[in-house]
Amino acid sequence: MQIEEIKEELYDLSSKVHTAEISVKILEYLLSKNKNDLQFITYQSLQLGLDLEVVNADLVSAVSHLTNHNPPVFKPHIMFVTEEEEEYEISLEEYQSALKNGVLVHPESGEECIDFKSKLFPFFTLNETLLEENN
Amino acid sequence: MNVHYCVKKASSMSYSTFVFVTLEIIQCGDKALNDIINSIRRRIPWTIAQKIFRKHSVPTSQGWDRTISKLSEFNIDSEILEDLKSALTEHLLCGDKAVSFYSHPKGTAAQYSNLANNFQIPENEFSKNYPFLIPENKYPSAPLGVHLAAIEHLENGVAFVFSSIRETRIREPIDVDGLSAKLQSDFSDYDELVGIKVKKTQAFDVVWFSTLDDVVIHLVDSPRGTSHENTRMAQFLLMKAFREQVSNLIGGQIQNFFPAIQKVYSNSNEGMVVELAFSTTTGSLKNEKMRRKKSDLRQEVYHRGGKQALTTPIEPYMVSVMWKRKVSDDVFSNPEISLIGNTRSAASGNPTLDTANIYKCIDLGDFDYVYRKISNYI
Repeated sequence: MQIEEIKEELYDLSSKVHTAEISVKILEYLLSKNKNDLQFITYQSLQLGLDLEVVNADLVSAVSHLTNHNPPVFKPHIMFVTEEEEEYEISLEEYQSALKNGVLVHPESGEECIDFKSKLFPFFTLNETLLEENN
Repeated sequence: MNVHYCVKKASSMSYSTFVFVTLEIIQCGDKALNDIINSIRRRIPWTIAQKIFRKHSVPTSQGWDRTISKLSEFNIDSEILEDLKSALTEHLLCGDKAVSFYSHPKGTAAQYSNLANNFQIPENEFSKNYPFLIPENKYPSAPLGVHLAAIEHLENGVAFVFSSIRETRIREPIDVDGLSAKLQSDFSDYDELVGIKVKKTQAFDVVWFSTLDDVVIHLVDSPRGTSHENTRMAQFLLMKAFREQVSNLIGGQIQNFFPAIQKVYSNSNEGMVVELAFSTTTGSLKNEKMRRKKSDLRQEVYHRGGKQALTTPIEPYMVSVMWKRKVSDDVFSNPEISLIGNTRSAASGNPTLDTANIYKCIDLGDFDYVYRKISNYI
């Protein structure tokens, strides 16, 4: 599927899905950029790119929509940041297991960590296949 | 008690000739397993321990607690115990170390190898337990200072291993609300209250006389976050202990890592640069770091763009380079070296850096790989 097709699909949805419009803006923003510049995308990257005042709920929902789309536009990732500001990417399986069990294994010490939620943040990479088809 | 003797040959690829030639008694059974696992847990970062387990086909799970629980259901035979004990020993020698290289006259390593053959290691708490860590509740009765714990005869030299209980001071904010009214009043002039916690760990520092290149390598424990002052003190105490307990003839010409910073950075085929600090002739200092360590900072768009905008070259004074090595069929390691110079030294007429930090070595094969790489640049 081409990104243009996803955009058309989103236009069709715009009367039913209120985040369709911002999702289209995100796609247009991504298409206007060099893919080498889009290797580590955070909510803040999109907020600044789309010139929004803050990261709002609509932006988060739109990113979620594009992440769960078939085919997905974004691939989600989770980063764990230690007290010493060392960053470790953890797998989505580890993340889901941590949410389910309330405990995350600290990537460096291997010991269980309970107050892990404040040490995590999401980031996104692009579905490379989709992007290559559109370049 | 089940007892057997072994001569261990490490299985790392480029270091296949490495042999522990010392005959050792390995005690098989739950206690032996516990000793090994406890020492690995206390000593080796989880990210590295997982790879060591996988390399030796030992099952792992999420984190230490679940892995230990899984191990209780797994039949750990004597061969695997030997493998894990060797892996622990190798980590004591080369895991997360600050290293210095001293050039020596030809034949020095052979001389010290002969000395080591007849050397009587004094019995102390460290040597009695080696390569296992002494239990933390025995720290108060452990000897003060740095003591010879073992001598390892390696294929390419001999390593004198010293051990000590090292104190690390950790600053922690104190919650003022939790203090009594009297104390709150006493500290009312202060905006923040900080306490110092003293954390004790058993350190292993090594003087390794290598027959390769006639170099003596000093390695002191220096996990990430270790202060420069603590590393310096450990280096000083290691030398003092060696002179007092082994031989006072040690010396040699220390090698300078500083020129390697620019040379390694400039060779785009050399590993992946994951961190870089540099100055510019436009009067700025930059510190750049790749967040995912999956790509090379040299190729990063912002970095390249910044360089292209200048008509003068950037002046690196700190670099971290990571390599990817195949350790076994499905295990890859990422040994890393950090050459941490500073602006003061960089701007001087004779910039010097006598210590490098080598991280994330799974085994001596990794260390040897990094050693050979960096030796090309100094």
